[in-house]
Amino acid sequence: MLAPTATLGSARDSRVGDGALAVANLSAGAKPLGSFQRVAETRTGVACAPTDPPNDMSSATTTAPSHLEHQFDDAQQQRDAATTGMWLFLATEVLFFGGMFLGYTAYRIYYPRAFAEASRHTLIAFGGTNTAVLVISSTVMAFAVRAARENRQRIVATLLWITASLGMVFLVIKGCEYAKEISEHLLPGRSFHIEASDPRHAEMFFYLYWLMTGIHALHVTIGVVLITIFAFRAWITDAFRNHDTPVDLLGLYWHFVDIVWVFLFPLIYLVNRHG
Amino acid sequence: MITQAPPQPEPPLTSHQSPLTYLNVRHTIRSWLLTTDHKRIALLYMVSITLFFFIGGAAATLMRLELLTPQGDLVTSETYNKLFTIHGVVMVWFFLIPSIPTVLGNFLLPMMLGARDVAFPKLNLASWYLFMAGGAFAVFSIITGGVDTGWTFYTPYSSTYANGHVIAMAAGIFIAGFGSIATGLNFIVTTHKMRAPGMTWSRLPLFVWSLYTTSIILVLATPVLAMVLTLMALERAFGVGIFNPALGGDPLLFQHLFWFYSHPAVYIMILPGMGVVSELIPCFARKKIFGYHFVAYASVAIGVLGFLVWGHHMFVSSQSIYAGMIFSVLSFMVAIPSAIKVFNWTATLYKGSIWFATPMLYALGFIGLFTIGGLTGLFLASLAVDVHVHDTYFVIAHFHYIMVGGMVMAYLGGLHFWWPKISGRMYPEGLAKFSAFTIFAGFNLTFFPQFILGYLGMPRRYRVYAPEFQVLNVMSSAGASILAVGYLLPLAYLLWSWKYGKVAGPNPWRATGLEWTTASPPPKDNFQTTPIVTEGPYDYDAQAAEEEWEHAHA
Repeated sequence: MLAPTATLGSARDSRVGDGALAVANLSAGAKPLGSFQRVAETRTGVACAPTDPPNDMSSATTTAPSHLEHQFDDAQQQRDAATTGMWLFLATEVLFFGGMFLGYTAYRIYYPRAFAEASRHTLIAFGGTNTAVLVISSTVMAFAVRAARENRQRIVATLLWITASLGMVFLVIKGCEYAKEISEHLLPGRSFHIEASDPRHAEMFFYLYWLMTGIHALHVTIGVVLITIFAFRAWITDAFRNHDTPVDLLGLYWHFVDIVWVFLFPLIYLVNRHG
Repeated sequence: MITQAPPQPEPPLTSHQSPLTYLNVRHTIRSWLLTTDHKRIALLYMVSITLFFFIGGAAATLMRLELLTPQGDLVTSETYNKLFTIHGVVMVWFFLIPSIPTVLGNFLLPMMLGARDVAFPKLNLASWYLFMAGGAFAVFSIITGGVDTGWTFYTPYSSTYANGHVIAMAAGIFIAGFGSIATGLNFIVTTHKMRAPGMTWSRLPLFVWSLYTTSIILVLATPVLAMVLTLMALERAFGVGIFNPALGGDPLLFQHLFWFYSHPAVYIMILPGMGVVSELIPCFARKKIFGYHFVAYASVAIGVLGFLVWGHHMFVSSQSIYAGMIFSVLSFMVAIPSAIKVFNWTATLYKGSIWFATPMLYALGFIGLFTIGGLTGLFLASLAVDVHVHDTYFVIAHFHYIMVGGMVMAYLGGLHFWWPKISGRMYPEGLAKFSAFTIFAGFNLTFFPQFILGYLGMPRRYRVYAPEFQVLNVMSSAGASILAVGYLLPLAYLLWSWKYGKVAGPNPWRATGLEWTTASPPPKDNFQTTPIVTEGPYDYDAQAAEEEWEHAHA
């Protein structure tokens, strides 16, 4: 789950011989003109001065896109940095969920019978439907990312609306499932009650179930909010015209949320269900 | 490091205006609290961690006072428990882990790479706010009664029996942890994507290599800490067992998850210090670093191995003996890259033209104290010896030699070295040398007796001890008072020099490295033009330095 090597190379390395480009882009920033010319003057007579800075800076100013932040030289560098950052963030998320998966695995190995029995009390119809909903939403998101790359703003907005709606459907179904489980006394705590040979460890199963699906649902909620905001922006503004990186990264996040569920579903609902 | 760009000229001067630097570009409080300039964020961190350092130091002072006598006559046992918890939590999460990365790292990383800023400046500022929010929770928990679990929060004590605001403290660490993750992420992306043209991986200063490895650990280990603290806090809040054996849980699982973070965290604390020393030694020996690639890859090796040794904290915690053996062997292996570094630093000194300026004194202090701390770590990594000294003062002395003798020395060394860059002023050299010696002497007097105490069997975390331990404890407390003076001195003279110190100029040490090619203090965007790098770092000439010295003193 680490960043692919393709995004990890340095964009700036490739421009070693490109001094002119770096200087030209730099001059598009907030440098006082006077000092810049002084640099050029002091440079005369330096044997290995790479290139003379261009006197005409208008070209550099016009080519810099409006979303380019001052610390970056060009849009490609900004895009690479953002993408690498997103993959690293997802790596931290993997480790975050990893702690819970480790706890779940350890206790399932300790108490296989209790966990199998408890697993049979989960509501597989809800879980199964939700898996389908989330996988479909991820597919729609993939199309939205593609549409953003092709600069089709209306389609991006529509597809994002659909993705967000499917995310909402997931949350509603999950909510109904939680409500039903509470009514069946499957929420750990005082009212917890289960017909099982080892109720204490069955309760532990449900504790882990609520925790893991709860934190996952929190991620889904954040995703739905973000996707809704993005859909609005794509619909109303030109924010993503010629600038599809944010949509791309949102897509990565949404696929991550999806993939966590793809691991959660079999671990919680399917393991030893008919054993 | 030679760059093709000419020396950076001072920004344009009008007749009665000082040059525009990152410090005087704006003066409002708002411009500091909402800054996205990595240099200003570094200063925000510097002020904050200094504050936390003195909170943690105050707790340690009270502990050392209590330990002057074998009886418990100053504080109650409960208060003593809270004191060592405050000391541990504050020093680990609110001073040591952020210290070098967030202060010196934030300030220097973009400049060493030839960049205008880190990759995500807003995220950088958000890290500081997360750090401060976490700190606020921790201070709240301290003021409203404290926590007595020790910094390790072992379950089931912390999740079931402990009094005090364990959840608030855990929340503070959780939030500050996300600040750490954001910093680490930012540094990794910056190192990958923000390097100046020509700045290849094997031309990176070694400080950058060590920050890079540290960041990887921050990003991969901290989420696990966040998870384990969440589980512990939930168990405490709702009484659902995951670690409490009375509820069917396993306390060992907590220790596994906790040390999976907290052992790599030791390397978060020491690797940046090693990076600083790798910068100081070549500069003050006027010699190219010996074995650049070995030192660089040793950082990475320490980072990787550091993830595989957590079980050595659990030798006596009912972990399987076979797991113990494997963790023991892996722990020994960490000594190899650490020793590579020490040998390479020593080899760099050989035939160098050594200049005993204050930063060099700290660097040499680091090498000696780190070696003692590292070698006693091998005692603890040996299964049989660990059973004897486990949870004694031997352990305390060992990790203070690494953390204080290593990391704090390196932090102070780096702070003195780059102080002219940060403030534009020189610190008073004589006073600085005096305080460096004071710290070295005070440190050894404080912690060396603790090795003996631990070996003789004095357990950690008790305020009452057998009378025969008193002499060594009095020595230790006396050393602590010297150490306190040693720490207060730099605070005073650095503050003084901020305004009254001698103007430093761009490169007072005549050091190589991109950060020295720009003005002191640097302009807001670091460089007037993006530098172009054509050579590796540490292009020093010891022979020329010797001849120059002889010429000057002829």
